[in-house]
Amino acid sequence: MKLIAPFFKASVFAISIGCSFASMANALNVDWQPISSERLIKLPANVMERALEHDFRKSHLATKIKEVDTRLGTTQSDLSMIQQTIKQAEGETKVELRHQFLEQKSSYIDQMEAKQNLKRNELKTRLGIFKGLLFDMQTDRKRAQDPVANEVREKQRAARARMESIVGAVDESLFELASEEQSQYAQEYGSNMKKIKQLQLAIRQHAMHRSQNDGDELLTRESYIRQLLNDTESDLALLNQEDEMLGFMARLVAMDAQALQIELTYGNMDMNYENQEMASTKPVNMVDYFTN
Amino acid sequence: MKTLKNIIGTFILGAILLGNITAQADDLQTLKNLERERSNMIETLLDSKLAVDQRRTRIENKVRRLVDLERMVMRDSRLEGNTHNLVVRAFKNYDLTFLAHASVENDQEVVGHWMHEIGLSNEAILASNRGIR
Repeated sequence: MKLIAPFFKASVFAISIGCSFASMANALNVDWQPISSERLIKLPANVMERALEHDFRKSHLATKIKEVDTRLGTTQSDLSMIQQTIKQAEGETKVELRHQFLEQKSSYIDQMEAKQNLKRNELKTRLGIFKGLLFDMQTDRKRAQDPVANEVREKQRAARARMESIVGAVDESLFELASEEQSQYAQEYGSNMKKIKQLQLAIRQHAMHRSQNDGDELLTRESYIRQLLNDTESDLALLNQEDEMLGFMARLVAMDAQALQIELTYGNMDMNYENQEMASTKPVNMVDYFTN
Repeated sequence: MKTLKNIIGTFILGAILLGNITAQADDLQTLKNLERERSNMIETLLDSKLAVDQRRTRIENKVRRLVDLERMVMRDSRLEGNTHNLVVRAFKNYDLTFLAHASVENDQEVVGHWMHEIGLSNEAILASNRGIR
């Protein structure tokens, strides 16, 4: 009993850790939980991206991005309006407007940063999905190249051909064995097979099927996913570049604010005024007073 | 601590193996049904308590079922490229696995075909000696 107790405690501990990890994973991905790569992998290559996009647009994350976009639009129009007004304003009103302009710029940067974070979340989720898809495809390919599996497949093909060549003779011999007709399985299989052939023909003639298989450049599913992965990576790189841009913008806003504060505190002082006054009283300029 | 690690390791490995086995078991269902039916038919073949007519009737019924099961196995896409030992062995020896179809192909009764495949013939039986191996 003494020996079992620590094992039991350890297993309870392990399960609780596992549960907390699972809940953490859910919490991280609560904004967009995309459809699994197992489901996506079954879709035709051209539908895969649409399905993912459709799934994303329905998500909470997409709604959030849309909301931030709307706010950004408002901020942008406010900025443009204030900028135009500043040009015509004077005195106290101009200072007030400049202050508002700075505030709007600062809020633009905050909103943009929030959007960038959401967008990064979206792109990273997409990356994860595409990497998962590629991994699944590569695993399938490796499995298809497995020599043992290939050997089995070859034997199955040979066995199927051998059985198909004898099916008629077996049915005849069964008919001789008993007066009964074919078994229920054989009857239903036969009628289903006819229907399946009709369906297969309809699939081959379907426009969707042709659009998947035609095309100037026939992309394999794997290269298509790799292309999507590259596109997402480049979007993420652009996002990082935009981040850098936002950093510079924030720095400029801070400097503008500092300049405005200094201007309001000390006014527009002419720093050369004192120097000019002092320059006129220098001994060299006073010499005339003393020589006459 | 070392024992605890070993036990936890074994537990995890066991869970993974169990998951794999359960997943594979579903894929092999048709083949398992065929194997069950085949062994049942062989039992009937070897049952010395049955009269000749009785045995013939029973085997005829079983052959009909066996034909369906053999076709089900052959058409089962889950077995395609499956490297499970049961699948590999089944397709390695067509004549013993697909008894009903192979017997018609060889123009033999199922009983005779099975005996021939496992190497039992009148000559072999008559030539055999009783003794310690």
